Amino acid sequence: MLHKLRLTVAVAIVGAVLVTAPGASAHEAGSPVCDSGALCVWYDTHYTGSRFMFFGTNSSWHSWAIADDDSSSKNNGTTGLRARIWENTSYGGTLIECLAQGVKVAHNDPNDEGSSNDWQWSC
Amino acid sequence: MAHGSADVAGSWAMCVVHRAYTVVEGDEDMVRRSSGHLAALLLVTVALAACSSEGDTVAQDGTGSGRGSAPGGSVLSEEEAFLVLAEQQLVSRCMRVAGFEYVAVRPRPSAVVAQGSGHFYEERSLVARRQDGYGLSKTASAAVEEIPVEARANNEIVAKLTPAEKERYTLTLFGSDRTAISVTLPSGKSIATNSDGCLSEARRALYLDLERWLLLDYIGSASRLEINAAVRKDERFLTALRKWADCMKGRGFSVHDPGDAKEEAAKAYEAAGNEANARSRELEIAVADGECGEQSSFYTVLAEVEQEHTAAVNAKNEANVIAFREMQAQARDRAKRLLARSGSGK
Repeated sequence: MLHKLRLTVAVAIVGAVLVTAPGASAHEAGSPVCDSGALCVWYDTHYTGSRFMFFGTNSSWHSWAIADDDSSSKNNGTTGLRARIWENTSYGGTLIECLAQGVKVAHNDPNDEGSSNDWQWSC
Repeated sequence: MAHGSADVAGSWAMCVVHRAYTVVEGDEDMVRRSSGHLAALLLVTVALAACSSEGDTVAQDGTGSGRGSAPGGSVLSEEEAFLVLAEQQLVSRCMRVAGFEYVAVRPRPSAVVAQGSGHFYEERSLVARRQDGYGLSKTASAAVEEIPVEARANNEIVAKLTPAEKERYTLTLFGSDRTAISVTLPSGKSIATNSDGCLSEARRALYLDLERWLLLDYIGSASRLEINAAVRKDERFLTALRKWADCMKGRGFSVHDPGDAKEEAAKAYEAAGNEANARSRELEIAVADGECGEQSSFYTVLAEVEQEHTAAVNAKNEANVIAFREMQAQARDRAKRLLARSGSGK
């Protein structure tokens, strides 16, 4: 997990806002801090490596260098909604994570499988 | 609060120095409760106790995220919705004491829909595959990225804050990573939450034992994840999957599993102005997937294995699920008392 080739690419763009779409934005910064309102997903375990913050429902993570490369995650949403991570785009494949507000996982299991996310009141 | 604020500032400073590629000190797996944490906890406890009901900000949620439902989706019972609202109201009061507006959203069970079922790849008949592939063309045009309506109110409040205020808001709501507690699930997976901040304080007020809540809530709410993990490791499933993948490869599709195949089909729609070609490719992949499914018996094996693991996980977790329901029932009684005491019972 720590040895990921795309990390090299990410070095050049740490801190940059990659894409901002209506309701679906992801930032990359490499910080353990997760902003309020976001589902934060990190490239590496223990909230390290490039960080992506998903503020809304995102049918595909493939616009960002985190799809199938997620290793830790945290739900800092600002309601009681649960943050759900899906194996495939368009909320397909299997549900691989479902975090209550304020709950985090330092080592995703399954690892490197996430491709989309949504928010729901229950899993 | 001041202690916690320094923690966050420190984390940011460390991040600037170390960038993204070092393990940052203060990770919750390495940190245990400190005297500073206890002080912060006490402060929030006092703040919560001092909360008044006046001006509780409660919003009714809308219609979910509006992307349509799928069979076997998640459902929130009236009792669970009550607890979610109670928790959010306690959070709202605590946040107000700290000087922040926080809207407690009232979940509406009937509006709860799932984007997907959470189950393993659902079998789709060959007839349906030949007619409509995976059904992607119908959903592609409706797939508009959006923030769930429930999440908007507080996100909009946060958006208006200054960077310093946002930092304090996050710390007040979620607490400091330095206070994190973690529990290990029966599956061996570890989950964590910060033990200070308004959210954890509200949970402690409702459930008394935060660690126990963390464990039972995950087991009681996310058994689907455990079932999926067990299926993934099942040799019968893996053997059938290899046969399916070999068959797909023979047809020119290098994919690991049916989810991969569907994703491959969906990628075609990402190319703007390529609708006809995308649909053609979707049908081609979906039909190959179905035919390889028949040839390898993949979907039959999957259904058997999934059913078996569902029963096993439910049996294994039965005691914990019962304990979770009891904990929820006690929390509901506690919530009624807590909210009624300040004149805002539901």
